[in-house]
Amino acid sequence: MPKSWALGIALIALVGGIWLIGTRVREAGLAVQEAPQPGYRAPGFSLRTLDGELLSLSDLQGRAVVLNFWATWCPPCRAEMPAFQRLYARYADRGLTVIGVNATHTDNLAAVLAFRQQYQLTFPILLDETGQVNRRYRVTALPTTFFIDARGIIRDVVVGGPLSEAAIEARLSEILSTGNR
Amino acid sequence: MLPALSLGPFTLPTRPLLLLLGLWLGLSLVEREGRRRGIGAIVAMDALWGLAAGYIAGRIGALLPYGLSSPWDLLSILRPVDPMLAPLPALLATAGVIAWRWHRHRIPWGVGLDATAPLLFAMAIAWALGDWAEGRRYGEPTAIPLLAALGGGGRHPVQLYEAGLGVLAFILWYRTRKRLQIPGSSFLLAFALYSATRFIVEGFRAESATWAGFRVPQLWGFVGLMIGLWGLTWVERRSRTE
Repeated sequence: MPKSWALGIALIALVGGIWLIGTRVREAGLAVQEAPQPGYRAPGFSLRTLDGELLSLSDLQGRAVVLNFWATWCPPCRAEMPAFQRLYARYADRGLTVIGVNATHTDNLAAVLAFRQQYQLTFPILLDETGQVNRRYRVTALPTTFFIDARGIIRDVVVGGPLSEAAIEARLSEILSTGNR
Repeated sequence: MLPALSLGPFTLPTRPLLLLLGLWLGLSLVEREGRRRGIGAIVAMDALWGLAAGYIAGRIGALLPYGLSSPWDLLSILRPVDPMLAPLPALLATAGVIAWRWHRHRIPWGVGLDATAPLLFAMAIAWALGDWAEGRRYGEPTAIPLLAALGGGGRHPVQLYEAGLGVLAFILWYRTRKRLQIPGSSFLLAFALYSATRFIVEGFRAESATWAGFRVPQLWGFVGLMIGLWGLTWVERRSRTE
């Protein structure tokens, strides 16, 4: 090996070592802001359920939340809904809540009721009648699904669908493994 | 952030589009490099087969532990909307299929790797831009206004750093490659440059797997950089003794 090469590699290793040490992870952790993106605190909201009750995201403190934005006219939303129901039934005892946020400003309330009946959905369905929560979460396509851990941090966002049961479950294992907030 | 593009009644997810664009650009460059190195355009097809196998293996590896119980689950393996991939099965399948195809087409390893090198840059850049479009793999907080705005929500736009450095690394590789005559050296340079970009940008990443306080992807970048540089000197020395 020519001497200049050896020197060059040694210099790169030295500078690299300094960069490596200088960029070590600090224990303090991040000050987490609210934003509809992975790694941020899920923006808070309150909406009425199909049964007329008011539900806030803050009511679900300490639980992992799957927030699914959907509409009855959206075929992929319909296709993935049974998987959400099955997983909700399976994991509710382990601290999972599934919330379907219906884009009611583009949908029909009668169709939503019929949809819930048809698929026998037992998880809360919230009605976003003004589209405010859809805008807050910057939903540009339906379905869009947010996976929120028990500390209220968004761990993943999937735009589009339908998501398979396996793909949802793979993400649940991450949000359910995070401690209480 | 731009996770989806709305074109009239159609909504297209940005990430798969960027990956397809990166694949197309990368394969075009591989085809050109293959012709230049006398192994023909077939090397691009070999790379495409390898990537397809890697994608399927990566998806199966990520989803199979959770069971594939319905037709949607089977179809979901091929759906590009979901970025979940298991890296090790993806890497092994890609390498295995490419090795098999090169053996069939009698493509020497060194030359084949050299011709395939631009695909590494193209896919890495497309992946980084896809991450940025979806707001994934964000950076640490920054107070610098422009960077904070590009990162979305006051974070370093690490994905854009990665894409930008990837472009610079590609330009450097492209201008240097003709001087590297020994088979395999051009790929090793590309590998070292790619590893260097990862090594630099991972230092800004907000959430990474850590080991003893070090970011694991950054450590891998450092190891890759050293292997690439050591490999370059090794092939150079070997060619001299031969």
